[in-house]
Amino acid sequence: MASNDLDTKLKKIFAEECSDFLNSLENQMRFLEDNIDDVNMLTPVINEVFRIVHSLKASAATLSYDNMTEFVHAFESVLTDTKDKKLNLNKEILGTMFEAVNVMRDGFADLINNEKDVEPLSESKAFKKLSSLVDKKVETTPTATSKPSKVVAPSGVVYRYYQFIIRFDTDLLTTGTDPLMFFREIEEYGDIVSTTASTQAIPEIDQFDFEKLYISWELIVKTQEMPEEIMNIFMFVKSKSDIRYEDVTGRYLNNGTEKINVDKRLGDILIEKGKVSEEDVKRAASEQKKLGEILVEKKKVSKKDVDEALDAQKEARKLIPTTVRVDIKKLDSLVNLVGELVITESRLRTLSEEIADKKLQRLMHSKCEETSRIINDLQERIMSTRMVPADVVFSQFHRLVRDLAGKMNKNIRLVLTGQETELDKNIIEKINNPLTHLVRNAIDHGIENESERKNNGKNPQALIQLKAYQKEGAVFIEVADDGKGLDRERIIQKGVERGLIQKDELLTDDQIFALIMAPGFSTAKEVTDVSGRGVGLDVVKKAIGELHGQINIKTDKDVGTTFIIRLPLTLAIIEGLLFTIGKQKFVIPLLSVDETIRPKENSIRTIEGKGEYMDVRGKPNTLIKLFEVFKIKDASEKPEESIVLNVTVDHKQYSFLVDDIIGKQQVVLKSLDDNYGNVEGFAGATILGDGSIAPIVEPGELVKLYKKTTILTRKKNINTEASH
Amino acid sequence: MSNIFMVGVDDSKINRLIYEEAAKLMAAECLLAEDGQDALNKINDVVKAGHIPTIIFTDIHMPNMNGIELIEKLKANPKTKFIPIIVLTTERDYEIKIQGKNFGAAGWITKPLSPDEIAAVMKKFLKV
Amino acid sequence: MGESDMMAFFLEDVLDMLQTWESECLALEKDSSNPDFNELFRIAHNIKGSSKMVDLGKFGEFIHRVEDVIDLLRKKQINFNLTHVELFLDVHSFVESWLEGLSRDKNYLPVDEGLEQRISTIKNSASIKSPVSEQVNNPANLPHPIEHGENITKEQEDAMEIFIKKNLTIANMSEIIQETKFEKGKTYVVVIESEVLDTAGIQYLISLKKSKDIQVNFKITNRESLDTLARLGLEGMVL
Repeated sequence: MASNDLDTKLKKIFAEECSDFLNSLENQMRFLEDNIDDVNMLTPVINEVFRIVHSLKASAATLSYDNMTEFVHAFESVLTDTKDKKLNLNKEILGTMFEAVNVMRDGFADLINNEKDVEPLSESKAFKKLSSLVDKKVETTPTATSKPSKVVAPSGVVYRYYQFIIRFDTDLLTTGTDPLMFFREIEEYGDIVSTTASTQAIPEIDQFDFEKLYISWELIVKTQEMPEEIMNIFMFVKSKSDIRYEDVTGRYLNNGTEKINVDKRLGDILIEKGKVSEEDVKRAASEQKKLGEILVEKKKVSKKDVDEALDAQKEARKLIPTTVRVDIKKLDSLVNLVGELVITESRLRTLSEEIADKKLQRLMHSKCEETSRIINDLQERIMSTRMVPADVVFSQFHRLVRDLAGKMNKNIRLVLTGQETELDKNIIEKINNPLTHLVRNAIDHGIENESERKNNGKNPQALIQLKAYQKEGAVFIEVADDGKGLDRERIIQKGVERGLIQKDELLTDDQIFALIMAPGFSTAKEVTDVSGRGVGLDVVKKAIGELHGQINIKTDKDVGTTFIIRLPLTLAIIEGLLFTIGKQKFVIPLLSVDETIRPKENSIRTIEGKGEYMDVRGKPNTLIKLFEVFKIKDASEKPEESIVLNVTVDHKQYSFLVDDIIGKQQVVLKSLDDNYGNVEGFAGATILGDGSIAPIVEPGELVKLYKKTTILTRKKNINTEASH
Repeated sequence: MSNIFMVGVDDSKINRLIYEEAAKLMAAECLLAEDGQDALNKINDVVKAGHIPTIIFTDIHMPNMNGIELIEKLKANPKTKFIPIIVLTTERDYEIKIQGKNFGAAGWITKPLSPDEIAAVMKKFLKV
Repeated sequence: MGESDMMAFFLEDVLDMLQTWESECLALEKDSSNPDFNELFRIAHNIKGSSKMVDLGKFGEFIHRVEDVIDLLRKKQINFNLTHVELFLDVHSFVESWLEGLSRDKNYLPVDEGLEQRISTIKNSASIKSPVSEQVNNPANLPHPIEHGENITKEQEDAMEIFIKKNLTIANMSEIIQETKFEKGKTYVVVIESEVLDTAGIQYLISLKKSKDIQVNFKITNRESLDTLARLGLEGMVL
């Protein structure tokens, strides 16, 4: 067997090498001994000794003599430290090394004679002495297998699709590496469904530098393996390149079955089935008759084959949903009606509780349950008619980015991900402007020009990513750029200048970056023609707020900035928490409530001139007594008899004092605008099961309202005091 | 004979033997050298004769001329500049990996050497 | 359908088509090596047809002129360059705002800021060149995609042939670039007989294709080379 041959050869050479090495080693060490006081002479010799021991270790390891390897490794460590001047060679250490050599001589002799590993040497005196010299780290012997850890793939025949965005280091080609290598390797893990290359950056021939890599790629890979396995392929180049991946399975699979490419022409289907050749199809297509007829006429294919192919095409076509154009107003009224149904059903249920006859009550209750289920289903389906893929908004940005990048002379590539994610049509319409602002902002202020990027070692082509995805029952949209990121210090400075924060005020990073979206952060003087700095961002925040969403910023200096927008799946129906103040019922969106607590007497403190605070795990939350804000008279005023709802608005914590919590309920948001215009503090109102009306509180608006009323009250107090 | 012409540079006879075995696995032509200077001389000779190596494997710690210097010299010669160079390193030796990369190495292979691993790397860097 | 319903339908329909028009333009800009104008032509033709049904004479005439320009490009009676993409994108914006105006007032006419002028200039430049004889295609039945390397127009018959026999790989790039000289303003057919193609070599070819001062067309018959191109997603850029 070939491997035995190799083995024998190896052992033979090993034997030869070992004795050569050991002799050499002893000579060098004797030289060290003789010249121990002349440090300058020692360095090259120490290096040589190191090299020999290093080689000995490698050889022992190759032959899997692990115990021997362990011992030699200990010796090597001492030499490494000596080489690196972490250890000063003296007579004692040298003595230990001589001992080690003796052990090695004997050990290797045994190895060679018996052709197998020695017993573990870790208990020997020599080993212990060697180890004690290097006691800093406990180094374990390098094991024979040293491959990168394999990620275990989940079992099952499930395919997933991943989009890989690959931007290699521009100097990749000079290392002798070619991107083709990687693509070929990826094919061992799955199918590359599509390859898109961006050749934008390739210059004309007079500026062309053949050593540079100008092309970037986007691959869609269909695989059963974990994406991390595929990322391992790029192991050698990962550090200098920018390689990312996204799971895009949703784009290609429809409940597990492949979305068939329905545009397959009859000719293609026939070719695929092997019934005709491409040549035939091309020739036939150049004539004006129906392809099928011609091919049959020319006896290229039988009528039966054509009929079968036509059937296949029809089948595929069946799977495309046919569409109907509907006026959005009709859909809106449908949503309204369903909303009314939800409310009425709720009323029925409440009424059914009051039926005296137990049997009848039970019957009524179960029918209500049934009705409720049907209504929920109906509601979901109607809501889905209003759902539109994000692509509707995203695709417009290609043009915008192209135009703006051209205007600002910047090299920018736009990549869209998750365009198939669905959003409520209303939200789609209103999200366009904020997104446009953010993208313009990124291009205008975030992304540097080509030369600046090159100087910073960044890819001269900048990347803007628009991502949409669903998570935790909400829809997320991200606008990411790989530009220069936000300057934390400058923002703090500006915040202080504009009076938005106090100097030395302790703020979290989130709160600091959120400042750029505060009104008044940038003055009108700084508005540029392209994006209107500052004027844009607080408008963005407001718009997102109006959509009952949130916007957060993640940024890294010189790496880039990402705006993460979180939106509800729909505007019309809210998961609410019902509470009371006095006799009045209110609703607050459940998502905005962090927690509910019953306060203790001593957890509320008053600070002169500033107001009341609630102690929540050591941190002070501004306490807002809702009965004061809403001026409700018969409310419970004692905190110990009330409930507190903790909310977060603009990264600050607030505690809302309310009387009691009734429970969770899905409510239909009804606008107050038509009847009352803009009502401060509320997002709208709803009709509850018992027929009463409950206003829906909007935390952000409520805080604003509170601040306004407190200032007024204080002013009044000051005035009344002054007049005394 | 395949199209591969590999070079294996190592001061250890055992490792050189393993390179030879790997070459056999890939039906590749093999050139061996025992240190940087030896490698440089031999490579320059074959290049002059019009025969360019397709891939070079080298250890770092060698007498006469170490691996890093060898890489430097190879990269300075336009005829050998684009030959992928793979350095031999231990699992934990990040410094060598980074140094190698900075000087233009295309990748690394970890000790102890095995003919299969070397063959796999050769396959990866094939252009056909 | 009532008149206003028809108009609403028309507006929505055209807006839809405009989206495709825009993405076609952007795609053309990205890869202008082997431009296909059939889609743009189809859209212009459809819009022209629809506009007749809602009695929008002036609008239809405008679109007709745009259609003429696309036709000239399709028949290679004028040379395509990126300024045409600019023009088509401007047409897009122009038509979009025209439609917006129409949705408010059906007699709306936009103010033209030079677009018509640009279109006329292009149409006039074409009549200087001798038209290539080609059968007039029935727009309803679009011509099949052209075979790679086989579209020989009159110009290309005067092209000079260059042969590349060395492997188009990075190791040979320096030599190849030195040896292969291209003169400005000339047309070339480069026959690539290399057995091996790598990314560096392909980049070189694409760079040549992009160069405005020379006109190059490539012929690659080697199976492996075509395979490499396909693997890297670059066939469209080279062939």
